[in-house]
Amino acid sequence: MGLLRNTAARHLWRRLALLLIAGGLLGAAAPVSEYQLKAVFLFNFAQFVEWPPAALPLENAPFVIGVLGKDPFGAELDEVVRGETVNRHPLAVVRYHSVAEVRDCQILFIAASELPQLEGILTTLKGRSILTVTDAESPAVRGVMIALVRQDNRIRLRIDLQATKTSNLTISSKLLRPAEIVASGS
Amino acid sequence: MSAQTRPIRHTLMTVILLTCGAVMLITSAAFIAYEYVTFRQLMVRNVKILGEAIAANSTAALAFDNPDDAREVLAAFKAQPHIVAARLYRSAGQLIASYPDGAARGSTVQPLRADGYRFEHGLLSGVQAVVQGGRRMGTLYLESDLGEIYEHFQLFVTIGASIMLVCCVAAYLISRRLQELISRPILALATTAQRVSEHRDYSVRATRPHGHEFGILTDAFNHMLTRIEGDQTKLRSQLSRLDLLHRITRATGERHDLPSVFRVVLHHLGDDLPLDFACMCVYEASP
Repeated sequence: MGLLRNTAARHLWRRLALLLIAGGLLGAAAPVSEYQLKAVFLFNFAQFVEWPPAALPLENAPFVIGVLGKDPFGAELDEVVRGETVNRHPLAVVRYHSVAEVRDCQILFIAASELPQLEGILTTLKGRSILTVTDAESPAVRGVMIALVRQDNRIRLRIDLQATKTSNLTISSKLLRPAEIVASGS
Repeated sequence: MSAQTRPIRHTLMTVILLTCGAVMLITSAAFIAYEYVTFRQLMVRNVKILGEAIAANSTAALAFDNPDDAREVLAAFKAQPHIVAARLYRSAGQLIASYPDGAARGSTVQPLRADGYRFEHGLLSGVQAVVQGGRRMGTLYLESDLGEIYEHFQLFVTIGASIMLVCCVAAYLISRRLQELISRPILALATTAQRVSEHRDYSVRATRPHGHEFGILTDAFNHMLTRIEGDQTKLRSQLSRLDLLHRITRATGERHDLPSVFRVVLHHLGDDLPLDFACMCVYEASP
C-alpha cells in the first residue's frame, strides 16, 4: 500500500513539476495548460492555509476541493489530487451546481460562469470557513478570498485578507509573500 | 660553540626554551587541527541553517511559480557575503531563480546530486530540499566560499603566534632565573675544583647548596678533599721520616767510631723529633 502510495505520489509530483515548468513558460498558452497550473495552485492552497479545527473534515472524511459552476478544469484537478492527502485526509474534488449544495467543503473554486450570482454566493458562504478562489477577472470578484489573475503572462495571486479573517482562515505568510494583498471592495 | 664547550647556563636555557617551543608547537598544531575540523563543521551548520531558512521561505514561490518572489527570497543571501551563488530549482530541476540576480553561473537544469553539504573545489556547496507539508517543492543549491575559514584562521594564527612570542619571552626570562638553581651549585663546585687543581689546596671546601642531589655531590666532594688532605698530611710526615732516616744513614756513613755515630744519631733525633730524652746503649752479649 505504502509502495503504491509512494509511487503514485512520485508520479503525481513529476507531473506537477512539469506543469509548473509549463506554467513558467505559459504566456499565451493553451487554456488547458493554464487550468492544469491553476489546479496545482488549488491543491497547493491546502498547504498554506490553516482552517479552524471545526472546519476540518472528520476523521477519514475527505478534504474537499469544490468547483462551483461550469468546471473549467476537466479531469486535470482530479488528476492533481489523486492519491494526495492533507493532514492525513484524502483529497477529493466535488462539483457543485449551486451554492446551496456546498456542505463540507474546504476550498471552493468559483467558476467564471457564476460571476452573475457571485454576490449571492458570497453572502451564502459568509461566516463559513471555506477558502473561496476564483479566476474570474472582474471588479465584481471583491470578497472572494483568492483571485487567480493573469499578469505579465503569469498567474498571480490576489488575496483579500479581510475576507479570510472573517471566515477564520489563517493564510501563511509564505503565501502572502508572492501575493498581492487587497482589501474587500478595492 | 659545541654542546661540550658551551657554558652550562646556555645549555640549560637552550634546553628549557627548546622544550617550551616544542610543547607550544605541538599544542598549537593540535589546536589548529581541532579548530580546522570544528570550524568546518560549524561552517556547514551555519550555511545549512541559512539554507534551510531560505528554503522554508521559498516554498510559496515554488508552489505558485513566482520567479520574482524566488529572486527576492534569494536576495536575502546578501546578508551573508560568503554566499557566492545560489540557485533555486523547481522539483523537476528547472531553474526558477538565481543569486546574484541574473547571474548566469551554473546550469539552468539542476544537476543530479544528493541532498547535503560538502566541501569541493575550494567551496562549500549545499543541496537543500525545499519542502512544504512533507512535499518536496524544489531544490535550493548554494555555494559559500571558504573566506570565513581563512579569516578565522588568519585571526587564530595571529593570536597563536603572538601568544607563542610572549611565551618564548616569558620562558627566556624565567629560565634565566631558574637555571641558576642548577647551574649555581655546579659552577660553585667547578670553581672549588679549579682552585684545588690550580693551587693544590686541599683545605678548601665547597659550600653545601640546597637540593638533595647537589648536597650529596658536594658532601662527597668535600669528603674526598678531606681524605686527600689527610692522606697528604700522612704522606708528608712519612716523607720527613724517610728524609731523617736518609740523613742519619748518610751521617753515620761518614763516621768510623761508634760514639761519633751515636752522637750524630742523637743529634738528629733531638733536632727532628719532639724528644725530651733519648739514650743509646750498646749491648754486648756475653760470650
